[in-house]
Amino acid sequence: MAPLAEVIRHLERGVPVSAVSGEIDLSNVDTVEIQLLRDVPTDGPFVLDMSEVTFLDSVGIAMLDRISRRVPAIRLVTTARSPVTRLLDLVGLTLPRHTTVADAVEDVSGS
Amino acid sequence: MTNLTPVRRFLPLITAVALAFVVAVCSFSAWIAVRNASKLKAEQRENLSLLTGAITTSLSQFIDQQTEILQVLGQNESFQGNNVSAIDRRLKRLGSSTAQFAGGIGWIDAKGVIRAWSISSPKRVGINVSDRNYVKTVLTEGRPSVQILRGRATEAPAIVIGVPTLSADGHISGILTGSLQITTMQDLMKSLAPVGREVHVVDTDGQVVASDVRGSLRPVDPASPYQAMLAAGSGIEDGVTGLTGLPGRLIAFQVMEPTNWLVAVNAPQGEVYSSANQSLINELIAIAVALAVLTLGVLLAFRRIRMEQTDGDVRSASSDRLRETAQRFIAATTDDDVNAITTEAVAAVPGTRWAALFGRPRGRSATDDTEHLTQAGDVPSGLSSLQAPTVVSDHIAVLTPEQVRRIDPDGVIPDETVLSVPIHGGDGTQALLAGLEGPPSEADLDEIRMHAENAVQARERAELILRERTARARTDLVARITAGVESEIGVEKRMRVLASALVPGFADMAVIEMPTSANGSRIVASAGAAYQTDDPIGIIRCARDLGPSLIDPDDFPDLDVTDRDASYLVVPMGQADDPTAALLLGRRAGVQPFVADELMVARVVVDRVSVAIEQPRLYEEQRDIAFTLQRNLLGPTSVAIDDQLRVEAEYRPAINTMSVGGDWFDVIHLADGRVALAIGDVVGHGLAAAATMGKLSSALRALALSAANPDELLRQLDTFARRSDGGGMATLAYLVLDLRTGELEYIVAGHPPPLVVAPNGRARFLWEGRGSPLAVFRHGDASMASTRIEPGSKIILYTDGLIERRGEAIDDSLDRLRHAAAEHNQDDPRTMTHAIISAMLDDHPQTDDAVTLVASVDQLGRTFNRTYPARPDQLAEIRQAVGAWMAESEALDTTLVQDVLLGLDEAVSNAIEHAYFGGSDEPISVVIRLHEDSDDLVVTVTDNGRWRAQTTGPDRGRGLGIMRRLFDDVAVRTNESGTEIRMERALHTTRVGAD
Repeated sequence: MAPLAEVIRHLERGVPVSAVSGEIDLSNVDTVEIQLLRDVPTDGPFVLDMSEVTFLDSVGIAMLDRISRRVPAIRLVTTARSPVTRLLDLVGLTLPRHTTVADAVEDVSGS
Repeated sequence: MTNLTPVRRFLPLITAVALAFVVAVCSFSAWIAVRNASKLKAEQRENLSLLTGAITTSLSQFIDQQTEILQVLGQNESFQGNNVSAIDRRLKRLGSSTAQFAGGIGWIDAKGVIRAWSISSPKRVGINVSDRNYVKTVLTEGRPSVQILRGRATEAPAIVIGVPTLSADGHISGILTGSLQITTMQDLMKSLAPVGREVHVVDTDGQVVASDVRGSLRPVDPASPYQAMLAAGSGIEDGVTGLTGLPGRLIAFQVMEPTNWLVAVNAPQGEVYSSANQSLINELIAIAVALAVLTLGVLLAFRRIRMEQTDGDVRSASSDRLRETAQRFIAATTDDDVNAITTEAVAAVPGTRWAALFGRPRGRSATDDTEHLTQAGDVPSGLSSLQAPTVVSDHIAVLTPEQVRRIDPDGVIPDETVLSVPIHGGDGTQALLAGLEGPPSEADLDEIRMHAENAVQARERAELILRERTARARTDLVARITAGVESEIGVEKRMRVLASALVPGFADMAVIEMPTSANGSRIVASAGAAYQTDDPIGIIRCARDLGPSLIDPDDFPDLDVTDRDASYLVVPMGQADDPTAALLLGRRAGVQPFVADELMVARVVVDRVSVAIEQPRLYEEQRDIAFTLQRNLLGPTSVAIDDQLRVEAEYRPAINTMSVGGDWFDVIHLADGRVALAIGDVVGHGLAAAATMGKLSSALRALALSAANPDELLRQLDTFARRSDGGGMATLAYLVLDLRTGELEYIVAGHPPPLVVAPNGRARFLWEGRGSPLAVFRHGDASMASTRIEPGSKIILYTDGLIERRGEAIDDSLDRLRHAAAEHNQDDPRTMTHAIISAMLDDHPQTDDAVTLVASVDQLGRTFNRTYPARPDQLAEIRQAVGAWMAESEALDTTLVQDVLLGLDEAVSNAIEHAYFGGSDEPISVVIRLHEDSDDLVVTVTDNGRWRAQTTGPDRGRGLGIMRRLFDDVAVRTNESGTEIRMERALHTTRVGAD
């Protein structure tokens, strides 16, 4: 069976960017978290692209919460109509968000 | 001796003639009794034969029915060609609906190779079974075949039925075969067999299927007259070795068509005849007693005449006294009379001051003390307190002062001369003491001796009279109780008759206890004492441990009687170590306690009555068989489909009729959330009607799943009813309710109209879709109608027994039902069923059987109902399945679907994490109900785990918070069996993203 979620990492203008696609739930949240943070320095900028995530629940929110405390300079990328945006709004988790990776990299490297 | 009168001369002759007459009368009576007994035996044999016929018919109808079902199924066009995958699909679909074929249904091609099987078992498919007899029969002769196959080591024996399937051009394309577990037939055999009887079926291979050993086959015992029975076709064998080797059996048998199996009902010979033998013994005892009484009467009369004739030899005064006393003795019928006459006679002899009699009242044991019985004359005070030894002297004698002191240490007897007169009798010697004025003369002694002799005879006669009275009373009691018992129907009613017939009169209280199926027991009848029917008091245990016996409650503390001072006896019915019931009789303290003789009486009563109770008359047995058959074939009386539909049905047989009707009903869960409700009535009564009903209901069950709608079903069932032998006319109401939408399609063939009660209590009959009864039904005669049922409505189905009243117009009857249903419109369908039956039938004798069914339509809508193992890897699957299910409803927008999936995911995650500590294979049930009508959606997630106490991490709180934001109402309920999360929301309100 294909994994629920897939993580692709690259550097964009020196900023580590992790892009996750698919669904995140109790069954894969730990694996996804480890893959997302591999080789990411905790004291530098970090862009987490979740625009291709089709499902996220409270364990995913908890994951974002943990990541943001570990890597404070994080920028999220989500689209307006994505379930991630809706859930973030629903639980009131305020992380700096952008709709494109380019905007996020721009923002985080400028700061 | 010269003055012999003519009377005296002919006295011996007259006596001889009188005795000869007495003997002749008694012999004649004895002959009649023997003849009656053999008639009774013949009757028992006849009953057993008829019973065997009825059981054979039932069994062959059972096999016929299953064959018919296969034939109906085999007519489907998928069996015409050799498209194996189509056949396999068809069989898999049938698998769940034809549950009686527990071994599955298969299709064998014309070469004898199994090509498809309803129960997935790849091992079966592909096997060449062309060597099996049934395969040969079906393929070469083109007719159905039934065979009992001994299973392999791992399988139970099975009844395999094969019917030919035909290709489009009429050739045999293969065999449709169904496999019934042997236990299915054994259960039927057992339920048909009356108490104490075994039913055996021997198939053509000589294998015995016994009703009492489930799931096994035995070879027929070679010592049994099996071959002779087969040759005879039907009959009865007496005192032979049974088919399974038990000796001394009485076997009634019949060969069953068309399978040629031998059906045998057998019983221990002695048991069947016991009632006949017992009644013969009773009658012979009564005759013997009568013979003795009459003979003694003749002899006493003879003696009296002789005494009159010997007047001249005896001094006249004493002879007058003797004659008078003798006359009084002849008239005396009880011990007390005899005793009083004896003492008075002795006291009247000249020179005698007083006479007193000591002895034991009849029935006392020889170890009891003797008592003062009677006295006469000028009796010294204090005499009655004497403890007189029974035998003071062997013969009449004046006692020595030493002897007097021994019996009278306190000196209450003032007389110098005390005469001791022993009176010997069958039940012990009495002692008569007489106080004399002086030494007695020879003549006085002679007279006293004569009185004593007469007293002995009179006492014997009194004893015989008592015995005769007791025997007659016993026979009367038994006859009265047997007649009373037989006038009632049903074991428990008969038990109540028995108890109340014994109280008062024989006992002060009677209680009967019967074992229950759950290893306990309960009181079924009580008289003269208020014992609650649900609280057994240990009678069964007592009877099992002690057998028939007199009981002192202090010796048997398990016997929980309220009056522990009373005397008790207990008698088991049936086998002592495994009684079918047990009787406890009690007599208050102060009344004479039970004696061994009365225990005998109670045993005789119970023996006779238990024969009547356990072997009801033939017509009743037939009724019982038909009743059992009907019960086996009726649908379940209580059905619930999730929380959408509750159905309750009750079958109430007519009061005091000897036949059972062909009423039936069924509830069938069809695919796609549809439910079929069926009710019908086969015209006629008895075994035939019940069997026809069975055929129709089985066929309906098989056809309901494939029929597209009620129209199609009625057409197919009608064809079946016409084709089937002896189908007879039947009415039917068939309704299909769509639980998603409330759409009700129905068709009514000659049946009274179904009734629908709306939530507001308004009741309306469904008058559309009517046509003539089945088998009379002409194609196109009726076509189905449809209506809409709103949630909270009741659908009421019934047979005419519920409404029919003699002399009442049908419209009035229906009006009564409509009012009763509206008045008793209650939430609980069971209560409502009872209330309607009660309102319709309680104040009126019920003349026909009645089935009443109430279906409560609680919720409508689509339902998703599945169970998953509590593992995280199931979450994605759950979301996928529910997402697909929700997508079927076009009206739901994507945001709503996403919200539901998210809330559901949170709830299931919660259960996995908190009830099962991160994962387990325990089940989590997910139920989602979509009510598009009432515009809401309910998600229920249930687990069976134990939630960890207080794990209020931020995660869990967040999950619950998300659920609360996504749904209008979230309720978490925890109890011992697990936790249920219920979330509810309206379908068509838009929700703000965040609050």
